[in-house]
Amino acid sequence: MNVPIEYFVLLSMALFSIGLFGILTRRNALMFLMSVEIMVNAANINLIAFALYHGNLTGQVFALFVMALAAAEVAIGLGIILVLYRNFRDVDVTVPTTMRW
Amino acid sequence: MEGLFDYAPAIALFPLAAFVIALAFGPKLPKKGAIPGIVATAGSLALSLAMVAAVAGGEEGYYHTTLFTWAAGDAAGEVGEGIEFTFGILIDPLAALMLVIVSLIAFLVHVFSLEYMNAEGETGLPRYYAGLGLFTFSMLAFVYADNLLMAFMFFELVGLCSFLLIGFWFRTRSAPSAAKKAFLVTRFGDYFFLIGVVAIAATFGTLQFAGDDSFVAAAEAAIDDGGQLFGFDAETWVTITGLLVLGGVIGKSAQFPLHTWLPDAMEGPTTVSALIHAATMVAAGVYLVARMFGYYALSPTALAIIAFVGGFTALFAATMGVVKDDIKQVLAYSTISQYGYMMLGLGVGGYVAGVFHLMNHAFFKALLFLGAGAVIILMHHEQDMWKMGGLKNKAPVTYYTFLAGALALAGIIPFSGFWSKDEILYDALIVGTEQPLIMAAYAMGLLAVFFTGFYTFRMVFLTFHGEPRSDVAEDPHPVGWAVKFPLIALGVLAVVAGVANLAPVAKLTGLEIEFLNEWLSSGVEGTTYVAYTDALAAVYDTGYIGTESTTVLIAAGLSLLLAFSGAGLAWKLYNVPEPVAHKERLGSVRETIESNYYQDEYQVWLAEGLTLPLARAADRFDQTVIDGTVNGVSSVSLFGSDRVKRIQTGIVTNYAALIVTGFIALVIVLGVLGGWFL
Amino acid sequence: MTNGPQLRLGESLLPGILAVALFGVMAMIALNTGFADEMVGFPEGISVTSEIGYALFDFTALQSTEGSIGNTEPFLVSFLLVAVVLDAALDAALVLAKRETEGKPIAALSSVSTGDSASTQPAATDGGAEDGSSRSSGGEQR
Repeated sequence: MNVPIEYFVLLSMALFSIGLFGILTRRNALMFLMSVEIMVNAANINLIAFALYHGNLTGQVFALFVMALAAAEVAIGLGIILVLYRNFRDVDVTVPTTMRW
Repeated sequence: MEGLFDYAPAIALFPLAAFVIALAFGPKLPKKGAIPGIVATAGSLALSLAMVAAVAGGEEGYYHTTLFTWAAGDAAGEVGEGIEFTFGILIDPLAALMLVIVSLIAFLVHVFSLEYMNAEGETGLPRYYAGLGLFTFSMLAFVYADNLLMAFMFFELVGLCSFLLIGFWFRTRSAPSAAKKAFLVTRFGDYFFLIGVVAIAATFGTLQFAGDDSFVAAAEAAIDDGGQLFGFDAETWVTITGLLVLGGVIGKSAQFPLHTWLPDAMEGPTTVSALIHAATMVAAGVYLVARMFGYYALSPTALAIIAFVGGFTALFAATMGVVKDDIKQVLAYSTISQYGYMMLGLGVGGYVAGVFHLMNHAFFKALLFLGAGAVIILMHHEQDMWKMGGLKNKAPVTYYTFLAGALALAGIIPFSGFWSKDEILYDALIVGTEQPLIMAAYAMGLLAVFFTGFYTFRMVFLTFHGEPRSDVAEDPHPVGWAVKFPLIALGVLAVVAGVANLAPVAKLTGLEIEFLNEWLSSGVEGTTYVAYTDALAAVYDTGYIGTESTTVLIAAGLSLLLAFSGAGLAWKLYNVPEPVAHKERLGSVRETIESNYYQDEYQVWLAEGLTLPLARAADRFDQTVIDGTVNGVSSVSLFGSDRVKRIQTGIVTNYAALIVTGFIALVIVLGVLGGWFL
Repeated sequence: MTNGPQLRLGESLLPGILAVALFGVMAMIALNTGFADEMVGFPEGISVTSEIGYALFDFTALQSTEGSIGNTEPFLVSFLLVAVVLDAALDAALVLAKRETEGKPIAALSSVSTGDSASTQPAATDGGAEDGSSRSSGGEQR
């Protein structure tokens, strides 16, 4: 109970940056999805830590919602990856380059 | 009687209906649209006469109503309330008189056209009658307009119609160019008129001609206040705006230096010339001055300029008329000269005299033009006076009516022109005794009387007297009733119209016979002759040479003497069986006058030597600097976006990297600004 | 061809510097922020889990008076919304995952075998034209 809030925040930031690192460097769509999950959970850690910090349950409840949304996001993400694979025979995110000028 | 006024809009709407009918059904109608035109103008004439009766018999003596408000703004003027733009009708004695003149002339011109145009087998007659209808409509609506903006709109419409009709024979080389010239020159004047309208609206917040909320009343109040308007003395500002409006008048009424379009306008059919010169286009300018005379009466400077321009134009144009060989050209210069007289009359405060001359001139000039038209029919479309001669016995009706018009034009007693011209000169003289500038204008006007007498009778003698000088003059084409009826009607008017205001006789005998004076002394308060006289008393001092009676006699005697000597000189030189040209005696002056004092040349030089290079420079500036800037901006942005779009690779990772970069930059900026790193 | 996830090193790690930099900046900010040393925490003797449950379903009466969240009705709305979103996500995932054979939609979870994976049709939902080989094989089967 005596861990200072800074550490939670740092942990959260570290997780977020790790997720971001994955997104920036990996090319596999599944890795992308996992990285996004890590970032979402970094946010969750923040929410819960500050719920404890302020003695307010709202953060905790919100973390639950975020988890539900993450599940939804994964469902969609996997669907997109499936389509991606069907169209390009690959899950490499650098292969589809039609989103451009 | 008062109920008659409800039909006032129909005066102008009849010719408009004729215009629509001639345009839509003209080719199928038996006379190609002449009948609707004649019926419509006859209806207008009847209604106008009814208006005169109603004005004379009504209790108020005028009729003023707003028909339609098409913009009511809150924009306040320098003085006054929010501006309202309306269409309205103002029929006071002046407007009623002018309505009768215009519809009468238009009616007679329509009748005359039956022979002049239809019988000659012209093509495009529906277009001709549609033009006449629209012309008459515009002028009538202009005459009874109750505010300056409506007047301006119909003023412009009149200009457009003159363009259409002068260019009626558009397949010739000269007619389209004459039409363009008339349009452009008058438009140059109208440009100032438009600025004047805007200035008056912005200053006084109203454009009404008459009544308590008129701009005239507002201007008077502003001058009495002694305040400043747009940084000028109220009176100076009134002068400026008045002169701006006068620009339109000078263009339309063919005053120096914008008179050059009028002689060229002779390219149109003679009937159109009659309409333009007697009743519509050219009269519109002088009528406008009379209409807002109360405004000019507030500004001695504007009045003096009007008087001087008028006097100068009268002399200037008269000298040019002396050497012309084309019968219509002579008449054209006489028109310019006569409108100069009207301007002189109005400028010296002779409101009644100016309107009186406007009326008389409408009759005798329409008569002369229609007479010239008859001569042209007789001569199988030959207009050179040197090929005529001896028509006196072969066409007596034409001769005697033309002679009546000529006598009126020359100002020979007792024809109508004498009375009005004499009144103008008398008014100029009594003011001129106190003011040298007006005296100069008077002198020029007086001198012009001599030239008028000379060129008028030179024209008469060359056309009708002597021996026939060509084959067609030996055997002229006969003319029918459609020519004779208008000529006789106008001939009678030219002889007797002077009775309307026998001012000299009234002054000498003390009889109450100045009918026009009384007629114009009623009407809307502030726009009557009485009110103008009061206003002018502050502007002009008048003086007599000896007593009033001697002054009257001197003025009349001088002008009569000059008119007779001019006519006598013409008699001596040209009333011989075989007249010869005497122009060579004029020596070097002849060339100057025959070239119209090089007015066209200098205006062309202004256009080509000054305006054209200026326009070229402006065009070059536009092409290089402005277009260059615009093109430069667009090519820079094109080039820039062509480069920048390359960062849109379509690879998701790069987009994410860009977003993160942006986010980091944002956080750093906010952090530095907010002191988060300390 | 399906490739297993490969760890790529070298230049491809370069954008990762951004992530590291972001972490550095954010950490600096976090460390410079003067947080209070002590956390407020939750009151002794209440079950956080059950409190969350009561809050989620807006059971105000059951919440402990001390440390309760208070007006929790919006949570109920959010809860329902999340349920709807999850449903929608499920349906969307099914739609995205289904494939078409002979013009008939084949459900992703269908037990009917459609042959080996090599002959599956690419769904023509977007610009699949980039991959020429799969297009051409599909074209022959039609």
